[in-house]
Amino acid sequence: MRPTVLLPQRISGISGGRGGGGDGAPLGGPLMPTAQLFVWLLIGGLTMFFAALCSAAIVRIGIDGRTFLLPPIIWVNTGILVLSSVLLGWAQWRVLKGREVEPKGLRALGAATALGVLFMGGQAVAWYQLAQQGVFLSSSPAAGFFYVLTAAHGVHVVGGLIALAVLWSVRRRGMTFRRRLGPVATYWHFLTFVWLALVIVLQTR
Amino acid sequence: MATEHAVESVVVHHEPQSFWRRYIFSMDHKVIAIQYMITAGLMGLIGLVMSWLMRIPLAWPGESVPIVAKIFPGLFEGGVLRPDAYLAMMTMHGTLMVFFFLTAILLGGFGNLLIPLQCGARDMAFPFVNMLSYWVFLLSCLIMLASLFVTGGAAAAGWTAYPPLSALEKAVPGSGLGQTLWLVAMAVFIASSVMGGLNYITTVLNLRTQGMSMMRLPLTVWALFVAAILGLLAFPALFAGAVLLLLDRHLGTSFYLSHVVVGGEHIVREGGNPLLWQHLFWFLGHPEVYILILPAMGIASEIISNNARKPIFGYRVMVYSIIAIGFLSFIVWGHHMFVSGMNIWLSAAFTLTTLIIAVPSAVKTFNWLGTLWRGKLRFTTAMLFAIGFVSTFVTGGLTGIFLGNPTIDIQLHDTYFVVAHFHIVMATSSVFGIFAGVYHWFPKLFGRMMDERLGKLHFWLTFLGMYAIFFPMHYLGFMGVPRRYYGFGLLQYLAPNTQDIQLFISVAAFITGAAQFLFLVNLIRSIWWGRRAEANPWQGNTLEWQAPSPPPHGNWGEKLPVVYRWAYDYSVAGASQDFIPQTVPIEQEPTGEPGRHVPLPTVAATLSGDGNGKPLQNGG
Repeated sequence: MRPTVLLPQRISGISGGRGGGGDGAPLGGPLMPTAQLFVWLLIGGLTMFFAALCSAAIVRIGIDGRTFLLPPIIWVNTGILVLSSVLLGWAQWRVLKGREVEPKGLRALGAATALGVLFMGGQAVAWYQLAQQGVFLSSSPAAGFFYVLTAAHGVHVVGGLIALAVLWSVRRRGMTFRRRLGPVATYWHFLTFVWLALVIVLQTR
Repeated sequence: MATEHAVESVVVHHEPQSFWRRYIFSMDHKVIAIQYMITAGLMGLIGLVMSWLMRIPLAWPGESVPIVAKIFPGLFEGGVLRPDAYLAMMTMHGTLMVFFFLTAILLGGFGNLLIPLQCGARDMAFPFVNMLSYWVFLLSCLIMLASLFVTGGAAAAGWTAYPPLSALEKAVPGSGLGQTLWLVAMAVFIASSVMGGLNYITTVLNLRTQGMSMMRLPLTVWALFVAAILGLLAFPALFAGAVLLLLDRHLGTSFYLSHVVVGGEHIVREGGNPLLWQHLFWFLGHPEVYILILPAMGIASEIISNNARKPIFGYRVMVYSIIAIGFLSFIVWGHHMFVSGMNIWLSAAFTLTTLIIAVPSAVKTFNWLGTLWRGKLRFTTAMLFAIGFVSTFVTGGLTGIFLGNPTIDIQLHDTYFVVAHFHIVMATSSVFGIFAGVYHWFPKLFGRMMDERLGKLHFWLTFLGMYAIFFPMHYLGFMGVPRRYYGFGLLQYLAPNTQDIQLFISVAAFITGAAQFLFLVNLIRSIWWGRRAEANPWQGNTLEWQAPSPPPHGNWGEKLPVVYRWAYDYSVAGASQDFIPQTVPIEQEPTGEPGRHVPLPTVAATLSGDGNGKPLQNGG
């Protein structure tokens, strides 16, 4: 229950949207649900954030080059994150297809979340492997960017995991669950795409 | 999707009753707007005092001013402002004014006030995020202000925080904790503005009321919408830059630093590049000035049209110009770096994009003039400030064409000419937009009118004062006076009369600054004792004027307004009065909306023979 929170999307959102109708013309609804729009806009801002870091990284690493080996586990991590995204996509498809939130879809959601946690563990191992090589944040620009980019991505993955956990907690509330699944999944897929882009940037020398 | 009937039935919104929920931790966009305006206004006031402090040694170098020194004992030594305190004041003046005053009041204040009201929404899309945005903004203000009181004083590397000055802790006194707090405060500020921006964009896209198509939005909303997009896409780049700078400062990385010698001490770093910061900073920095000027443009458009009692000239072109300016603002940042040794072809490209911005800007200017042309002008204080905005925008914009050209910029770079340029085109113009907006929407916010006579006095002192301050700076720039300098004693090439001009500028700054207290007096007095305002004191068309003054929680009572026309139906031929609110059906009054010159035939029109209304003088 939300006593004091005005929920304008519920109150006026339905009559909002593409407008154009004040003359009795039929209403166009909003282009997409408000939460979904919010996530897309957030993705726009985050894309600029990662693009700024990546362009800086490309320029800096291009000058001095990379003198250390990338920890091999990042390839495993990449696979884990892609699999997590695929599973989440499958869960989305199952949930949106059927009327009920069915166990198969939920299992896929749980697995996707677990793989996300595993990915974060793998990233920690990658940092450890790098440190074993004697490569630290301040060793070289390439090393600095490895830590900065993985950390920046990791922070957002943690946010995504929290969102997935919240989603899991409402799995029995059909409508709420369905409404939230789309935005959360969009964000999670975005993080996978960011990671793939980061891997390309990181493995340049 | 529910039907309209169902929509109205769920309008059960509870107005918070306790003082704390209602005025402090409020989720009502109007309260948050006022919170933003007060906080940002205070930051602006602090920035103003800082500019006064800076102007003292510039006017009277080396002379003791014991009275002022008594008020600010930490900044003065022997009655004279210390050089490092001067640098800190200069840095903080720029930072506070650009981010914590102008950005916050235009997007946070006017964005919050006008977007829901003029879109016909009950509130922002995410009221909680909106509240959070304000409190995070306040936190960033407090961190930034706290930096004034730490050892070494506030940051002193300029509002652009170029490394190595900002990256080396021992570069200047303010490069220590002060600079760290500056970076942290900026990062927190960015978090707040991203939250705000997401809200503004979502609200405009999803919460417009029935009939409010994008091409019926008032230009204020269009301008705020595009400015919010700019903020959302540009601020993250500075965030990334700030994170890297913090790492350089505290964790020994070398993103921006290469080997340097400071005070005989070697600081060994591996080939970082300070230009990287300049790119990241200006990738935000340039869109940022349009984040400031676009809302001011929107406010001016609205007020000029309303007070000329004419539709805005070329509405659609105005919208396209806003979008074009927004887009171009992302690809011009290199013009701040012409002297950094960039490839000459690259500077040619940045020159080209920079000069292209003059096109939509000129389109807008001529459209304002076209709107004023042969209008029934009402010279309210708001109108005066809006016209003043056009004046300063043109004056400052023209010198932008000088500076966009590297052959001239390399000569004028880092001189007072640049200071004159951006203070007129970006600072003064935005401030005029803000004043115009406050005088215009004050009745809506507080249900009372501001004093017009005091307002006009305020306008004339400010308008003439601004020109008195900044226009002579062009000459200083031509004569080669470098900006950001504490003293000019060693610069033998400077003509002696530059000192006289400095004195003149300082005196003008003190008087103009003092004139702002007229505004404060007017504002505070009017909140409690101003003449009562009716719902629509300016006979405006936009939706906010159809709500009571001040609008209640939820803005619209039981039913959302329905929009039938654009916002600029002023002096439509054949209409019963010289304004037609957006909520008046087309069957009742004719319209001059672009593309709808011939209204649908109605029974009334058929019977009377001339109910259609002729096309306007211009519509688009």
